[in-house]
Amino acid sequence: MTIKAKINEFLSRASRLVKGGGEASAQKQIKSGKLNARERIDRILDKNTFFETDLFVEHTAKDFGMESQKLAGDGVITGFGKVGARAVALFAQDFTVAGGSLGKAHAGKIVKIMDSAGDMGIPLIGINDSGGARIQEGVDSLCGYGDIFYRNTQLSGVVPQISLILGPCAGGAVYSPALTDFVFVVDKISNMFITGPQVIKSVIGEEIDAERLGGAVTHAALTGNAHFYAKTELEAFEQIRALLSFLPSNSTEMPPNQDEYKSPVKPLEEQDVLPNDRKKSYDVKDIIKGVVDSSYFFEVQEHFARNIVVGFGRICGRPVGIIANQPRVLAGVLDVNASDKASRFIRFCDAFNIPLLTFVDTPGYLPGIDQEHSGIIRHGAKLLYAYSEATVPKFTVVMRKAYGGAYIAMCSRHLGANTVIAWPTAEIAVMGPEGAANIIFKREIANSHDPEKTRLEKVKEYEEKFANPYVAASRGYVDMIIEPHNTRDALIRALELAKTRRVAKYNKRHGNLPL
Amino acid sequence: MDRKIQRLIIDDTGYETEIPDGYIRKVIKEPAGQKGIRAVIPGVISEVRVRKGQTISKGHVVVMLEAMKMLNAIEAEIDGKVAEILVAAGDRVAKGHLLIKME
Repeated sequence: MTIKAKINEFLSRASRLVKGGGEASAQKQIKSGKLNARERIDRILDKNTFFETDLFVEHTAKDFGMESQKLAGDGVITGFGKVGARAVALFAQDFTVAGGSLGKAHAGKIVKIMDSAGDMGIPLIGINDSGGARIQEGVDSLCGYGDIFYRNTQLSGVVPQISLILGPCAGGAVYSPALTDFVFVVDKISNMFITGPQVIKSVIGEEIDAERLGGAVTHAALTGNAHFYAKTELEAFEQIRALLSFLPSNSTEMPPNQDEYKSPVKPLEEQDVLPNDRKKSYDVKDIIKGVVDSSYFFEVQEHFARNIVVGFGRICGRPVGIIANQPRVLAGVLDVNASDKASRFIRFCDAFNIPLLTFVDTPGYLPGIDQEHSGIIRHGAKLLYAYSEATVPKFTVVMRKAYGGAYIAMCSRHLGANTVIAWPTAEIAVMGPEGAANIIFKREIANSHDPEKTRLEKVKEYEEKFANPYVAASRGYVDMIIEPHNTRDALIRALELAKTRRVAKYNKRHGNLPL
Repeated sequence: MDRKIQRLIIDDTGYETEIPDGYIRKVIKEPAGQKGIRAVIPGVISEVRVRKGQTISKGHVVVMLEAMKMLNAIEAEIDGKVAEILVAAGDRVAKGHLLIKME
């Protein structure tokens, strides 16, 4: 064979493989509203940066006619590339090749790219679009899933791991995304569940369609399994680029600084920050946007547990992770879902050197049988644990209500906050004036000839004495009281100071986060 | 999305805020004081082993429920008299479904 012939043979083999499952199945994929695996890779990565590996990998299965079947790339495309000029490792399951089903070789390619991501300290992006385990390969495909789960866990806290659900992802397949840091879903394309609608119907007789059972909206708003929801695949890719811009490549690096930055578009103005009436609500995102660079707040889990808001922003070009009670929804109470949502976000930030900025305005924990029986004790404990455990710089701004246990939980001084700032409107107290007065002055109110009048007087008395930041400041629990419009300046100084923060820790294997 | 502002009372203070749908549903309670035996898991009733008016004691198997490919014996949790039987063999029931009313 001449060299030319050898090169031609290589070219023809390669061109066959990059076609995946062929033209007909590619068209079918497009008809179902989805992009093809290679298009997805090209759209996520910076132009012409894809650096493919393992195109020639083949399966070695021998049963059920598999021995005669050639599967291009064994149904998954792997390699490296750049996002915002920074390296990433990625894999994309190709639904046009045997339904993207996962066999031993398919999993082997994913495992290999995961190991590379860990070795090189670069983020991993996984695109999931697969019918599930390749049944013909039996336990070997189970081995494949297990190998992936093991590596997801080993890489957790080492490099950021991102999952896109761009097709079906059912049964065991859901657990790789679930082990990663951020899950992206797209409307009418993503489907995730342990058991699908048919199985549910046949076993227990409940009828539900795939979309309502495990579609994008369900996971973004109801289960909290997804962190980002997009209307289209392209929107999801933009979200990934935005997310990565806040993250370091691995846990030994600092998050990327932006050298050029702008002040907030709408700085905080005293008069329109908070309503005068403590019982009225407002949108805490307006406060966040009044503090971060360019008023750009990149929200995580926007549609889940909306009574707490989490996401990324920058202050003087430095990324921060923001956690804020949202008075607009459920009065900003802490509950099971809000605790889970915030705790996971805090732990992510702590793993990747992203300072935490907490805005507090919460009346406490949500009362109710449902909450108690759903385990608010152990779920709420996660928040205490996550804040206490975090060794990144922690800053807290108490805007209004910080009552009782929720005051402690929202990154108080006592849980290791570096700087606690309070506004003159802050109310740091064991509970709200109405509740407190009704307990402390119960007898006086009951014995009064005009109980309602006495009650109001006592509420006012308590309010004047305790519904303020001064008691906490007099004990040093609050470091400084400032006017709201000075918040950004104060945070800039606090962040600057905390750059050199060092924290001594007990030598231990690992703690035992309440789960 | 419809964002209605409602009142949420915490520690005697009524806050004006949005209460998402799921939370409203959770506070709707079942009729109080309904004594009876419920399905512990969803499934299909394969056999009813008591009759109306029968006096039974705690631990008595009242219904066989097929679920997750297994036959589950549903037992009475209290002593009492069967007031009403609400299911028959072949019925498909959801988790928590009231199977038998007790007096």
